[in-house]
Amino acid sequence: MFSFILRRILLMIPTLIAISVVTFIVIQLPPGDFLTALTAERAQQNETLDSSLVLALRERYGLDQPWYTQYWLWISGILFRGDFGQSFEWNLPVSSLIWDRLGLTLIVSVTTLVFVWLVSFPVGIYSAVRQHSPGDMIATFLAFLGLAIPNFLMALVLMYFASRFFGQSVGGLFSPEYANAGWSLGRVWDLITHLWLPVLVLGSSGAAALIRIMRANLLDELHKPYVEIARARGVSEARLIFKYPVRVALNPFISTVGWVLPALISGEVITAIVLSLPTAGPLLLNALFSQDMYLAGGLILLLSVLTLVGTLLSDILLAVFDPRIRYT
Amino acid sequence: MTDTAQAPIVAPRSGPGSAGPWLLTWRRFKKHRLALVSGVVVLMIYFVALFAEIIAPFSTETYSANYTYAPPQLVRMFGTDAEGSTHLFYVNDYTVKIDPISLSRAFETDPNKVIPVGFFVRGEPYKLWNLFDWDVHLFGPQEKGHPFYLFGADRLGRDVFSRTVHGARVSMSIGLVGVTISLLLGIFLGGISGYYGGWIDESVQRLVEFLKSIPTIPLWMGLAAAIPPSLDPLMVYFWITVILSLLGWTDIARVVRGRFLSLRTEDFVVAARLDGCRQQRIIWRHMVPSFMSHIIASVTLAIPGMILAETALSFLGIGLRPPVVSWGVLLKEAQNILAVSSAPWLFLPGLAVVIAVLTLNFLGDGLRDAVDPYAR
Amino acid sequence: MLTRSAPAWGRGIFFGLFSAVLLTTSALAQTYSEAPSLAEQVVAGTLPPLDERLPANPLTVQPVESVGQYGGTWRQAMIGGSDSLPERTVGYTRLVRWNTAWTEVVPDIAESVTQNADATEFVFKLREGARWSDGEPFTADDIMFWYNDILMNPEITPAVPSWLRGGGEPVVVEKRGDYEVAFKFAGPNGLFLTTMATAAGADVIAGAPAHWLKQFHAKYNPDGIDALVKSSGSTDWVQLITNKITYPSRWRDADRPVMDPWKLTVPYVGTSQVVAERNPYYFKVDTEGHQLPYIDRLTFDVLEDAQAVVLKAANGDIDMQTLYLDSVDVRPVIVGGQEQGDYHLFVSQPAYSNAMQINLNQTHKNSALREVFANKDFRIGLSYAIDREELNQLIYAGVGRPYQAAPRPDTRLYDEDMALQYTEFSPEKANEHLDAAGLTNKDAQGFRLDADGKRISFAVDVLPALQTQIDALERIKAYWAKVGIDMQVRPTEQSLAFARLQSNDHDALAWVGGGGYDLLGLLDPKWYVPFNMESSYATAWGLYFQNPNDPHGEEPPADIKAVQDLYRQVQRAATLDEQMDLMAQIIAAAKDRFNIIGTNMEPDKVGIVKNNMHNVPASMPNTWFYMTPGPTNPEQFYFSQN
Repeated sequence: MFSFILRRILLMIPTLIAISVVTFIVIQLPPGDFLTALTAERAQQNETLDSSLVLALRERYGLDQPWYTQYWLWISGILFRGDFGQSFEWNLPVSSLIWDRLGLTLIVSVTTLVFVWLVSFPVGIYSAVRQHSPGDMIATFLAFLGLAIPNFLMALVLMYFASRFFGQSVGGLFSPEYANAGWSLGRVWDLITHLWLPVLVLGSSGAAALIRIMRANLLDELHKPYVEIARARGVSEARLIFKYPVRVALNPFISTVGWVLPALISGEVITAIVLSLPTAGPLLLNALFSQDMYLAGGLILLLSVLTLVGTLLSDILLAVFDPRIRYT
Repeated sequence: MTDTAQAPIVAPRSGPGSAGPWLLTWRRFKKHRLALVSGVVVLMIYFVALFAEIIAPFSTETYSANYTYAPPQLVRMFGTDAEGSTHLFYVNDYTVKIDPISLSRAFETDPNKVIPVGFFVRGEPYKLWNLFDWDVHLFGPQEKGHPFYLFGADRLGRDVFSRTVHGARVSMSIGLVGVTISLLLGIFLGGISGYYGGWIDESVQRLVEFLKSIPTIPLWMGLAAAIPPSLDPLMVYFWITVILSLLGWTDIARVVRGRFLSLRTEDFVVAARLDGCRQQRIIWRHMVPSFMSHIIASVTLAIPGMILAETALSFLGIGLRPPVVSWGVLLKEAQNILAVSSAPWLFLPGLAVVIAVLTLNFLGDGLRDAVDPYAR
Repeated sequence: MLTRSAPAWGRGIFFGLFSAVLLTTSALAQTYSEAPSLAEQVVAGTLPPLDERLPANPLTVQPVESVGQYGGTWRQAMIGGSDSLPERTVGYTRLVRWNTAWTEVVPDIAESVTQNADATEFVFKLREGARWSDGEPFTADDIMFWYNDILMNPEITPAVPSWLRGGGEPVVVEKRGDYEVAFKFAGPNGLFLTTMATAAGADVIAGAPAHWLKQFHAKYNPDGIDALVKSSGSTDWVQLITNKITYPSRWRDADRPVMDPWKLTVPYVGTSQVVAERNPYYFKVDTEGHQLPYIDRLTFDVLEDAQAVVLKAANGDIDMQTLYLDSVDVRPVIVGGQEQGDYHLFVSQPAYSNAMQINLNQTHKNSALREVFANKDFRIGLSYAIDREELNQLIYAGVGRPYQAAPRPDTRLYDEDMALQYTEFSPEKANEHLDAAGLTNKDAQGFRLDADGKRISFAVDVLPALQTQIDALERIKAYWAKVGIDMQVRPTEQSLAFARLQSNDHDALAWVGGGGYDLLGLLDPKWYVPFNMESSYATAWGLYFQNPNDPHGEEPPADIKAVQDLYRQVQRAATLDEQMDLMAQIIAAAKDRFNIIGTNMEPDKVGIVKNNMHNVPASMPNTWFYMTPGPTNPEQFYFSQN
């Protein structure tokens, strides 16, 4: 087991290098650079940038260098000095921008994850055990409904009604009066009253998927001979279900746990934009659109590391929970 | 647990002689009422997508300056027009007032103005599948040019119903084509990875890990940006499908691999191997059927996933481009406060998405139960 | 309307609008009063008394409606990481500024400015006793610091901006006493003061607080600078100090001393709200001697999506704003929300004239298309083929009007003929002109062929975010198909569109613009003269005008060179009268050449203002060149207090 973990960690290094190169190239795939994007954005507001300024800035930012030189500048800064560079758009260190947002991103994502599991675990078991019952039908229907409504639409409509008819402030995770306040009970409560909206929108699609997978897997298990035999021996229904089938059916929960967080952060982008959440998603998207490559690159690298670590964790958990999988 | 309680111990499946596995599957599937209905609805959606030009009363681009944001019309029966003749089906025309400050049109239905509606009426000419010239529409206003907005009109006075019908073709086929590519890639790569293990497994796993580790949005954006902008919109559609499926196979591959890993040591596989079965036979006759249900469950979730991914791409402005109309494009156009507050009918294409996703899922569900060799 | 103490406005007085009564506020020997919150601080001893905070000669602002009341929070909302809203609402303070009506330049931080006859020397007299928001005095030394250590430092300013150059040489600034500086140019620079009133003027003031900026300058803080660079995460000291003084990064530091009515208390660094509070040292008072601003605080909620801003406004959570609320497609929501949101509307008139104009690239790299686009008959034909009235009904709800790329009505340069030429919808005339352009041969689908027998086919780039333009272009595509011209609409992400402009690779581009207000055309003449790459109907000639050595530039023909020379004369002309006369010649040439195909005049836009907020003008121009709403004096906006 230990050598397996060690090997996986060593293997992460080339993967990370590959990811950093590919993301850097992908970020630079769109034609133009940050300054073209900046000029264009200003021009749309009828602002003009002095062309001599643009040339000077391009040189200062090193944007006139070939991509591999820029890549080396960027990656060597991270490796040797822990310096993720400065965001072109924000003129602030990338690391400080990311850390500012990561806290709220984690709060939203983890709450969503907990919500998704709290909903999908019992509902999935119920749907499998009471297959084709009205309860199963309703749960299935609601789960699919959540899955079927595009997140951005649901977010917009819910935000509209919440603000129009229930007086909730539009956008963000805090009311304006708490936006810059220090942490207090009032602020936590304010956060909770705002959190339900993104959690509901983000969780609705995730829950559906997990309910279906839970149900499908559990059904596979429930029809297996060992369950029949256990039942024949008079094992109580609850014990019968939870002792083995549920544990086996948990497999997909575990194998996805590593991806859930990065997927939430990535999937959260669209919802976060509509709801104006101060999380990592909109920061990443704006960085990509404005070709703010150090910020975009830093964020992607961070998400990638999270995913890799998550995948490793889920593989380890899988080995622990499912004795059928052996690592040799 | 009434059903499982009575389940007999599974008898070894009989040979292909009397009733083949597919016939058995069909028999089991027929019993699943909801899945059957859903299957019919899915077929209908694909039928609508196939014959969109005939079913839609108008083309996607037919516009009218007089009817911007016109609300949906109710189809009524037995109406008498100004000349005194009675019509079986009809809709009422609107009266329109423009508010000079808000720049919006206020519509009221005018019960005195009757617009007769009929089946198989002659309307705008079109080219079915780009091959046949025709001008007959399944239904529509009896006279050309009369307003007929079942789902209301959008900002240019275009018929939302017609656009939804045309959008079905693009959205439904993106799902189908995309999932097919994903599935083939996923089963192939996941299968060899799980069955052979060793360095093949290692490299496939690294590839999956690599693709999964890069957040999807930048990948989409980067790849979408790599599509040459001079490409015509239909080719853009094709490339977006390819992009979606190239990124979508990893889930299926991982599921398949996991199943192979755990099945490899199952008694029946070991037994088959000891019996001297060829690898091909072990894989396709013994291992694949035993997790087919799981694959089908994943696929039924993947087709709607593709449809939804297409809407997400449209939302980000990197998806399909007008004049190609997809459900994603339509929903993107509805994504504003104006639509929520005063033109909610623009969300009706969303209803189409919901129905398609729901029925595809129910269908998959039924199939899952039907192919399950252990099910009653 | 501002009362001015300036005795002589040189020869730069514009339009002869002398409605302002000339009087010196200091002569009234007025007693001044201040906001209650500041008075408390004075009593508590944490703030010097008002007399010590105000300059000897404060600027008196004439309120729009009435003298106001102190207090309140002005709530606004903006989008993303570098929104211009703080720069427009808080930051419109420079040596000289626009008057509210946008007809002339008036003194601001400078008490007066005198210009010599040939526009080579400008003498600014500063206000004695004026102070930065941290209480330090604002003197000629601050301007000299900006000049010597910011502008003339080649590391910080690699290229002196063109508005600070005259006769090809950078400006020379001289100190003439503690409160007087002179800007001297090697050659005439007639647009110097007008440009200073735009966005550019704020850079001078931002680079001026010497007492604060010296710590970030290697020359003044050679020992401590490394630690500051390290702690800020900058690469070097140049980046550090540049971030403190350039837009928009200067909004990311709440410690920066300002001359604005409000100063930041929560900076713009990625949090969900930016806050600015009153500057106790602000140098302006109202007509009764109340120190401005009236409003205590400004908050800017940072959102990610324009729809959220619209919803916020409709819910009544924005007090006064026009940005993001002004487009035609959100109008019904904004108008409909008036009752629930408890606000009313004001007009914010677009400064440009055309809601969408099509620029066919006459300097196209493809010689066949270039020949076709360069043919005036071709452009006239295409213009006649457009049914502008239908577009108006379909897209602008009938409140636009057919219009070419021309000055707006009620401007000095307005020319009705130019505005309306070739706007008639006439496929017959269109076909005549297209035939006259020599495009008589057609292919099987009825599309016209060029001289080599190839179908004339081109794409019009348009920004994907501008739905109304895409809608209009889809219609125009159909109109043009009817007269045998094959055009494709190509939504193009804006940075890509600009990358293509830079290398002169576009066929055609749709854009708003086409002149408009006089001062807009004067400062941004790209639609009248091939001026820069954004003159997308002749990008290569525009690039050449900016830099004759540009690899994608191209020497223009004689007639274009002549108008480019005319604009160089505008830049040198000393008075607005001369400048406008020259602009009239340029515009006459543009009218004759008919470079741009316009569609409809952009309808008036609106902004919202809460019913309890006052002194907001009923109408204001809407453009970055005016810095909307800066020149309407937000410091005199107020909330009626119960």
